[in-house]
Amino acid sequence: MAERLLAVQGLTKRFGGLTAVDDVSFEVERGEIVGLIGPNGAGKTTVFNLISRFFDPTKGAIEFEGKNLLRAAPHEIVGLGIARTFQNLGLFPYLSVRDNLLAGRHTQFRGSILGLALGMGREEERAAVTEVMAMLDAFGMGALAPMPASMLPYGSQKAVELVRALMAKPRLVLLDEPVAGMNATETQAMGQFIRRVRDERGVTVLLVEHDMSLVMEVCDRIVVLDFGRKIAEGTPHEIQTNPRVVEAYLGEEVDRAPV
Amino acid sequence: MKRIIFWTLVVALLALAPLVLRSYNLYLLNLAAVKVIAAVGLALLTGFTGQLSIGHAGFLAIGAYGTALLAQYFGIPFWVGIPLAGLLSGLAGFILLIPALRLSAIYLAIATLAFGTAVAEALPRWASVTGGYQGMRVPRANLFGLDVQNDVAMFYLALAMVVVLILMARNLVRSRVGRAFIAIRDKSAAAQACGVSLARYKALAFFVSALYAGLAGGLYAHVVGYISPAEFGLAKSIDLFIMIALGGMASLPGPVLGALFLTYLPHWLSGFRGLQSIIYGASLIGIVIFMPFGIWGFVRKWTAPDKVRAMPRPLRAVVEFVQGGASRG
Amino acid sequence: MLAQLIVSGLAAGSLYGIMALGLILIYKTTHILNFGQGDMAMFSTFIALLLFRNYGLPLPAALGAALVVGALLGIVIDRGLLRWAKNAPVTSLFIATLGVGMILQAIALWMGLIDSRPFPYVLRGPPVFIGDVVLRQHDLVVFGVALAVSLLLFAVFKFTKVGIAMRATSQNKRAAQLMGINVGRIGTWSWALGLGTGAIAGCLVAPIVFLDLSSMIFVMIKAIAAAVLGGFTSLPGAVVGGLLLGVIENLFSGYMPPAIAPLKTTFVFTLIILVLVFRPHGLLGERSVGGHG
Repeated sequence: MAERLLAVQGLTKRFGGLTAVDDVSFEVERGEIVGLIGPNGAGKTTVFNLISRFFDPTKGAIEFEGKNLLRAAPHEIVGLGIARTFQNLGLFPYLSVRDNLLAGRHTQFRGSILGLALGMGREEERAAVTEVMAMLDAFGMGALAPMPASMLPYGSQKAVELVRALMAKPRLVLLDEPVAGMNATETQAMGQFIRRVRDERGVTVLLVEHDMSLVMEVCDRIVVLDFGRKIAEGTPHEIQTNPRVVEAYLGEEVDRAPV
Repeated sequence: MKRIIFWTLVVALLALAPLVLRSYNLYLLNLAAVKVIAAVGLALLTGFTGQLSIGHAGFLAIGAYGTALLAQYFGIPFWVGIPLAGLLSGLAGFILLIPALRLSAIYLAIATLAFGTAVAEALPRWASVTGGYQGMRVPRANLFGLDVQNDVAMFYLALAMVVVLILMARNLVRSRVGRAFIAIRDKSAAAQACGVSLARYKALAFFVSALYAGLAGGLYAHVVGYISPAEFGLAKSIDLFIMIALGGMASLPGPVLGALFLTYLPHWLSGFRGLQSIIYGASLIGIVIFMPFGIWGFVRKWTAPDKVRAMPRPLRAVVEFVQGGASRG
Repeated sequence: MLAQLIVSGLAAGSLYGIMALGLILIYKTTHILNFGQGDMAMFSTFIALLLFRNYGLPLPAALGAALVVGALLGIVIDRGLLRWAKNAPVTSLFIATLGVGMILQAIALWMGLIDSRPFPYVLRGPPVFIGDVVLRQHDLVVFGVALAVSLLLFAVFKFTKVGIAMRATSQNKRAAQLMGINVGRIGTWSWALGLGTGAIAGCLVAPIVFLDLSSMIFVMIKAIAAAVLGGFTSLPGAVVGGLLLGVIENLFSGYMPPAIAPLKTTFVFTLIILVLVFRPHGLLGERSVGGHG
C-alpha cells in the first residue's frame, strides 16, 4: 500500500536575502490526502510553485514516481501526472466552463497544428467534449458547461478548477487553498468533494489550506511549515496536540492581535 | 448547418461581384481583403494571445517586398511568390519571440515598434534593390503566360485567400490552439499548469500572425502593382491596431469589421480632411474607456442576448452541486 | 572626424534626450507610455509658429507660449480624459494617448498646418569652430537648453514639494497615497511637466526638420529608443540614453562602409530590441536606476 509518489528532499528557496523555504523534506504516498499547513508566510505556496517548476529551487530535490522533477519545464509537469489549482483561481475567465475543462486536458490532444488549421481535429475535439461533459455530469455540474467561468460564484469556480485539474488524468493534484473565502457549508461540501476525488478516482491530493476544520477532517497526514522550515509532521490528531505547532499558530495570533 | 449555407451564399454572392461592380470598386474590395487578412492575423496575436504588436507593418512590408523582389529578380510567379514571401515573414515573426517571452506588455510593444521601425527604415535605404523612396513597380502577375494583373483576377485571388485564411484562423481558434492562446493571454501560470508551453504557443502566435501579414503584403503588392516604403511605416501598424481594437480584437468577425471600416471610411471621408483622424482618434479613446470589446462585442450584446439569458442560474446550479456532492460523499 | 561625429551626435542626442525626459516624466508616475507625445509636441510647436508668424509675437514669447500650451494640454488630457478611464488597464491607456495625438493632428490640420512649414531658429548665424569641430549656433542652443532642462528638473525633484511627492509616487503609489499625497494631482503635474518638456523639444527640433503633421513622431520614436537605452524609468538615464543614441547613430554612419552606413536607424532599433531582451534595465542600469527620480 505504502508506495512513495512524491518525495521532496532538502528543498530550499531563497529570494534575495529572504529564505522562503528552508531545507524542507517530506513524502506523499499514493492514495493519501496530505495537508501542508502553516501560518502566513510559512512558505507553503512557494513549495507548490517549486513543485510546479515556476521557480528553480536554490537547493534540494523533488522526485515524482522516481523521476527527477527538476529536469522538467513548468508546462511538462502536468504531463508527468501532477495537476494543480491556484490560490487566486486559475480558471480562464472568458472561456466557458466546458472550454476550461478542455484546456485542462490540453496535453492529451494529439492532432498536429497544421492539421488543426486545415480542420482535421473535429473528431478528436468531439471526443474530448464528450469526455468533459461526462466528467461534469459525474460531479453534477453539467448545467454549468456553457457558462463563462467568471460568471460563476467563487465557490463553484474553485470546484470547477479542481475538476479541470482532474481532466489531465493526474496521479497527484496540488490544491492551493481550495476553500479560501468559502462559508462553512461550502467548505464542508468541498471537503467531501476532495474525498470523493481521492476515493472514486484514486487521485492523491496534496493541499495547502488555512481552514483547520477542513484540514483536520480531510487529511490523512499533515506537514507543518513555519518560517520556511518543517516543524512537524503527523496525523491530524498528532498535529493538534503538538506543542510546537500550537506555538507557531499562537505566535501568529499574537501578531495579528492589534489589527 | 444553417451557418454553412449562409456563409456559402455570402461567398457565392461575393464571387458574383465582378459582374456588377466597376473596376474601382473591385479595387477597393481588394484593398479591403488585404486589410482583412492582416487584421485577422494581428487579432490572433494581440486579441487572442494578448501579445501587443505595433510594428506589424514590418511584416506586411516583408511580404510585399518579398513577393515583388522574388518576381523581379528570380522570375518567381505570384502564386509561388506570395506564399513564399508570407512564409519568410512568418519566420521573421520569430524575431519577436524572445522579447515576447521575456518582456511585459508595454516593453513588448516597444520591441515591436522597434522592429517595425527597423524594417521601415531599411527599405528606402537599401535603394539598389528596393528602388528607395520612389518605391518599385511589381512585375505583372502572370498565370501560365496569361496576364492576370487586373482587378477582376486579383479579386478572385483576394477572395480565395480571405476565405481560406479566415477558415484556417477559425479552425485554429476553435481547437486546443485557440484555448491555449486565450489561456496564455488571461493567466499564463495556469496555462502552463495545464500543459501549455508558453514558448511554443507564443512562437506559433507570432508565426501565424506574421504569416498572415506577409500574405496580405504579397497580395497588396499585386493588387496595387506598385509599392513604396511610405506604405509600411508606423502609421500602417497603428491602422492595423485600430482595425482590431475597433472591431473587437478577441474575435474573428471583429477584425473583419474593423478592416472593412478602415477601408471604406477614408474613402467616404476623402472630401473632409482631418475628419478621419478625429474619428480614428476618438474611437481609440472610446474603445479604451467605454467599449473594451469593440464593435463586435457591442453587436453581440444585442444580437445574442439569449446566450446570456439562457444560461443556467449560477446560484442554483451551485447549490445543486454542493448538495449533490454532499449527499453522495 | 571622430570628434566631429561625436559632437554632432551629442547635438542630435540632446534633442532625443529632452523628448525622452518628457516621456519618462509621465511614465514614471502614471505608468502610461504617452504614445501621443510626438503629436502633442507638434501641436504646441505649431501654436508657437502661429503666434510668431500670424500674430507677430516676438520669438521668445512665442516659444514661452508653446511651453504653456504644452503644460495646459497635459492638464486637460489628464483631468479631462484619463480621469474617465480609471478602470481601464494602464497598458491600454497608451492607446488612448495615441487617439489624443490623432485628434490633435486633425485640429492642427484645420488650423492650417497643411504643408511642411519652416520654423525660426533661436540663434542663427555663421557656424562656430572649436578646433576642427564645426557647430551650428543652434547646436549650442540645444546643448544649453538640454542642460538647463535637466538641471531644472533635477532641482524640482530634489527641492520642491511637488517633485518629492512625484518621486514618492513613482516609487510606491500606495505608500504615497497613505502618506497623504494626492496621487491624482501628482499625475496631472507629471503630464503638465512632461508635455511642457515635449513642447521645448518640439521647438528645438522644428527648425531642423521643418514642421509638419508628422515630423515629431519620428523624434518621439527615437526618444522611446533613448529611454530604453537609459533604462526607461530614470530621468538622468533618459538624457544619457538620448546622447548615447545620437552618438551611436553618428559613429555608425561615419565609420560603416557606404553600403551599410545609411542603415543607421535600422541598426539602432535592432540594438533596442537586443537591449530590451538582454538588458531590460538599460545599458547604464542596475535595477535601482529608478531611485533617483
